Amino acid sequence: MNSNDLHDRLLALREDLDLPETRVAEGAWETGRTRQRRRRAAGAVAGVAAVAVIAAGTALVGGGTTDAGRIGPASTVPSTSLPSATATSGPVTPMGEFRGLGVGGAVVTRAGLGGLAEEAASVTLQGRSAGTVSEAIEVVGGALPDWAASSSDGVLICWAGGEQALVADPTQQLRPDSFSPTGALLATFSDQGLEVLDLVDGGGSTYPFDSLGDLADVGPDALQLTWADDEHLLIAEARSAYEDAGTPRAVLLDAVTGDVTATALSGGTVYLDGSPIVLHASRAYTGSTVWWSRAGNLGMTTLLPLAADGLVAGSSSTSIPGADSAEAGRFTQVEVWDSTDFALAAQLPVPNGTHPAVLDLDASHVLASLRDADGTTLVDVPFGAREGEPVTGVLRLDGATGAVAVRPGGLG
Amino acid sequence: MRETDRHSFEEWARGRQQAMLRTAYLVTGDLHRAEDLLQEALVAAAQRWGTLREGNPEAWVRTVVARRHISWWRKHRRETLTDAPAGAGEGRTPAADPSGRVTGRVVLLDALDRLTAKQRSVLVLRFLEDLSVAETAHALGVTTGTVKRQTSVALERLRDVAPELRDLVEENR
Repeated sequence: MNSNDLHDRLLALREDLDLPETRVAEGAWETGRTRQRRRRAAGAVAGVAAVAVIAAGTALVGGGTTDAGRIGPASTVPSTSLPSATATSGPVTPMGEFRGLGVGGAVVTRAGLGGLAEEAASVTLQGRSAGTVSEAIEVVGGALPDWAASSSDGVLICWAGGEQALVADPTQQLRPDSFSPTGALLATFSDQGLEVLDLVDGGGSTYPFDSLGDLADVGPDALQLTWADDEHLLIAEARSAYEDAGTPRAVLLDAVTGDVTATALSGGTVYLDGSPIVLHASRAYTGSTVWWSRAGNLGMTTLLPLAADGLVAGSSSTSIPGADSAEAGRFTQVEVWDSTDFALAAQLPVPNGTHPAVLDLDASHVLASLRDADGTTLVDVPFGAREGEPVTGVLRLDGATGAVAVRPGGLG
Repeated sequence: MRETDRHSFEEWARGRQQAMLRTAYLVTGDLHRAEDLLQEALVAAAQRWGTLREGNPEAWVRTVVARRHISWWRKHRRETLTDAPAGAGEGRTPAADPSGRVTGRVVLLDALDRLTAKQRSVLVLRFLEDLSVAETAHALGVTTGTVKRQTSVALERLRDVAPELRDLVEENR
């Protein structure tokens, strides 16, 4: 008997299976749509928080001043358009930043999900024993958790009503970017590999290290996680800000199918589910997000739609090796791309020592783009003297000539 | 998800659900588990139907089912490595078997039940779905070496647990 025979036997086996009539397709569309709405709703909350965080003075993108061995990518706004939220002031716990809390004597760190630190402080660990592993979380009313913590027992997630679930063992620790932008998915590393939990439906997947392609030989301590959206996770080598070791190796994981695609962030184009991921030099673009790699840093920035059709913009910050201080060593620029093929339309270097106000304001003020009668696109990028300060000038890009002019003053 | 896509998705899903369930059952050996995995895969498919409909959505669902089954198994293998998986007997009992065909089917099913989730998935994808080693590796998120190794081990195990399948195993080594 050859392989064709085995095929035939398995085929016959399948066709002869007398299984009860199934109705698994019933409600699949509705369930999918409900989950999508939940995620979008959660994403809007996360987006508002992200804008607030940025207004409070958080770095636009991480990496510039991070510690050795750890790269700090940006907080993300997952939706394709910014929520129409204005910047808020006051103390805000930055998304993606760990903050130690003393909870029940356990060592607990908090990861941002837009939840309240006060609530976290009042929560006690309910007699969890070390080494406990939850096989799958219970879905509590389908709602996303409000916050999560790393404890000596593992990763604990909590809902507003007080429900808790321990979803990972003590070897798994939250990372700044463990949560997907909407908080629907949680990614951590275990001894077995990358663990991805779906906090909406309670499902989970394990991706062994040897399935991570180019990163198979890199241990979890040297890997960085960065969610692009609620389906795609970028996993890359962690590099220190000043490490001269070339372009970090990276892979893109589709959390739905488990497909792993190498993304060297160094040129070329790959396609994922029909959507192009265009790699230009050291950048990768997917949907509303740009990932960038520069001088050993890796980060990501949400792209903002411009008023002019087909253009998107974002900003990035890069540390300069050898600078005397972190601030002096940071180089920030605003970039504009054509959203159809992500061809770079313009780079606008923000004056040294200033801060682009691109992400500080709501979408209607972030970037003004105008079309002259002759079709020339002008892009205005406001910037401030320092982070968080009012706009003090505008960069104007002439889309036809590429000329950049600096005009002092506000947006008027 | 565009509402205009709903009709085509539901028409496809209803029309293919039974066939997809049979494949999922061959992968899992557990009817309830197969239904759970298929249901989740269909929800995921619905969410990206605009893209999937132009390709091979059934292959995509098959991949998701196999992948998630292996992930599930990795977490629960200590509980599931038994000789008689829950639900394993569903759909197997012949009413009559004058040709011996059903008996052969039961033998093969029982033999499959004694494989690990990864081994079952490899066999189903490679020999039922006719995927190449590379395609199977891609679908399951493992290396081609793992696929080859698991194929060899699976066929060996089939021979061990079902001497009736010796000819099949030896010819495929």
